[in-house]
Amino acid sequence: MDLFGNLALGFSVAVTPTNLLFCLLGALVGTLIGVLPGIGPLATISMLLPLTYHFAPVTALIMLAGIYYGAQYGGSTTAILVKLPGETSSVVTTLDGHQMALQGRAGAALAIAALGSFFAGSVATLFIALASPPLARLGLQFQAPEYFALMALGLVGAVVLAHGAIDKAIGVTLLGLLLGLIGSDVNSGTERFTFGVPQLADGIGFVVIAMGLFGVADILVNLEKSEMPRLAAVIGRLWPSREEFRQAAPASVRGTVLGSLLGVLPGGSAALAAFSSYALEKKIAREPERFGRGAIEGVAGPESANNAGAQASFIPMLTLGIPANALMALMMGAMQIFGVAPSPRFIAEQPALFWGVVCSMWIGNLMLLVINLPLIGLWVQMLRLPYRLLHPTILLLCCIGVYSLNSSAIEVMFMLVFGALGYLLLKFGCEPAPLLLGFVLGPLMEENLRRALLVSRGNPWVFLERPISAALLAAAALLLIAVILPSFRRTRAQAFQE
Amino acid sequence: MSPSTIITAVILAAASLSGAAAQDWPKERPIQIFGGFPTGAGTDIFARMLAEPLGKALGQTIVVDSRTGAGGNIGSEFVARAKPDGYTFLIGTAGTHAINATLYKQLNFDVMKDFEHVALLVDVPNVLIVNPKVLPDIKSCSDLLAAAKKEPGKLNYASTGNGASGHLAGAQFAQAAGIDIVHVPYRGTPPAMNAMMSGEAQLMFQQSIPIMAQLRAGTFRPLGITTAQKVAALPEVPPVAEACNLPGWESTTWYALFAPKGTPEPVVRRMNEEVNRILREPEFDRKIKDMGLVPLPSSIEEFKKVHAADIEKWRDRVRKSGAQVD
Repeated sequence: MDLFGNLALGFSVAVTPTNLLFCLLGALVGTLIGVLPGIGPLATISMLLPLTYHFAPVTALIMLAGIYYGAQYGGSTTAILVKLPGETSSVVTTLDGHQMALQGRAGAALAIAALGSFFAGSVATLFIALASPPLARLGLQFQAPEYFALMALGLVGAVVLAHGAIDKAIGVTLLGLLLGLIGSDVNSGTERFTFGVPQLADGIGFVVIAMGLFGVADILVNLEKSEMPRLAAVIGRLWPSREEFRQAAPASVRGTVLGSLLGVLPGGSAALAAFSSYALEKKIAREPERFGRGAIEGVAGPESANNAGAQASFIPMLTLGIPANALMALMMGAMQIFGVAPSPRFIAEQPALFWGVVCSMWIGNLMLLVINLPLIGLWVQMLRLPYRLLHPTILLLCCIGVYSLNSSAIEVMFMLVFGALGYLLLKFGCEPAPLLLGFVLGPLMEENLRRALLVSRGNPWVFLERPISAALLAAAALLLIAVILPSFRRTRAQAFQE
Repeated sequence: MSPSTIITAVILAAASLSGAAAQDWPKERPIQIFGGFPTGAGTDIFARMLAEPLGKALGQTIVVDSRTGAGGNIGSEFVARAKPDGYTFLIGTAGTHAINATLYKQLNFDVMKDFEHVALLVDVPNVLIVNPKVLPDIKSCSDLLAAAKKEPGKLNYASTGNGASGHLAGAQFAQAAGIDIVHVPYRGTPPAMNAMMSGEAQLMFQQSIPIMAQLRAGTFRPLGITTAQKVAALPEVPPVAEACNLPGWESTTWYALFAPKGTPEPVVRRMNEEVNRILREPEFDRKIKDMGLVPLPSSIEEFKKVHAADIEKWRDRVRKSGAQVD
């Protein structure tokens, strides 16, 4: 069947009233949980799963998928308004998005995030429709050496993320690496830094650290100030200016491409896509010093990347039957209950299901845009809330969000500890974002380094013999040089000035 | 009043008390079944499948939830410490309740004494698979053994983690067949399957549930199954014992329902009866057989025997494999 025939089949499935309704429902629920910090799509979908047993499989999948990509839209809202990442993938959005809000450009940031997400979602849908099988095969080229090289590149990127002193950025990244080591080592089974606490056996959750470092720490810092900046005074325009559109559009395109590619990789995630996009934008920007001070590219790129990445992560599952992340594993579990478990023959065996879900994604993205744009005015009103109401609300939502992950009170305690750590970091002028990237990438890098050496029987040249891995490592080396040289020069220049 | 009448009166009073509790059960609130593995894992899928007909039979909603981490130990400990009121159950496995007893040097609970045995559910076979695109010439287990003997230390076997049933089955297999294959552990099923597809690992013992569709699609070639007999969903796959000429070799795990120690006996009995009835229902039977599982309706006493025997069996296997955590 040709593409148009397939799309026609897909839309005929997706626009039945029931499927449209559940697509909308999924998108709405997704937006809502995206806005609420900590409560992620994983917890929501596992809670809602039993409700879907009586639906047709395609209806259930359309709704569950809607929750997932809807959460990527919603996640940016709190990141921009109150510097609290609603989802892991919106951590980088806090960097420039919240700065924009402080400058009275919250509406513009929210609008760009929604428009960028819609653009990325539409392109990613087309991407899935056109290129699923070859892309999935590309993903299979990635073995342990390639993953190691990719993570190495990402870690160098972590240093780029930080504005300010490079030694602090490296220090904070290393701290993240150490925190990532907590838990059972996958290769030997040995537990590291767990102190016999069973809740630490699988490491500390990303959300726990992110909520602590961002949400709690930010409140602590704000409490110190005797005079609060009156956010309500700086609400400003609701719509981006022509100049802002001009800056955001190319960043959004680059973010979409990056997100689509990284999303296809098994083990890749929307968060990785967002981080990479931010690093890329900052690297190629003419004035990188604008980043961290309200650069709109720093919102447009990552927000497009995380939405594209979220949707592209469906590709390995739908075409190979391999879930790219925990959420896809959950979706695959659901499909198994419906008796339509995916495999490489899935598209041929279930064309209506595959194309129906793909087409619903585009419809869902359109719905999300329509839902989100008018809401901007409402969200921005949140800035009018006085801090004495806003802070306890954020703290409460963080606690609920973290508790909802594993129903574990200890993890709420951990979050508070990370809040204290984040406070110290901010006091010492250290950016917490590189810590998170080190925390995510470090353990993956170690795991794949050791696995690559295990499989190559200890031959270290394996990283350079394989072309993709060699290319990625070369890119990492170049980036490292590009980062270190100018900053050395700058420090020297400063030293001379004094 | 003679001493015997007093005793009788006490017994009657006790019986009426526990009878009252059992009478209210399960009307007060929804019943929870916890699993030690994340949503979408085999235990979770099975618990959800069971929850529907079981809830209907008991006239009460059944909520499936999980407390994940530490190889299932977090969930086990959570249920072991829960109130034994008949509203909390655990879907455990030979992994959480037999392997872990040896694998983890320190457990904060006793896999035998801290639980009521409610019902044995299903046998979960591991399937020995290879990727036909990576190893096109290996069509049977004897081909595999010949290849492994020709080049010792060349083939990798993937597992879903240190001490997972697939790891232990692989170690046990290598030892019995006298071959040298290298263990490469992954974090759970998805990355391990990915490694099998990309050819990073060449063989694997994988639980049947997540790969049934892949087997039907021909992505992986099944060379043998770890049960003593063939299973209904894979009639063409011989047991490893037969295919690899290793008489008596088997390595299966089970799923089972546990409750906190002290859960009223009438509740445990009723659950056991209902579960066994559901396992025998033709439609449910067909569904679980399609996933490659073997239903194991059995009495509470039989379940206890299987459990006790398996703790011994896995203790031996864990020690021989050299697998360890903490």
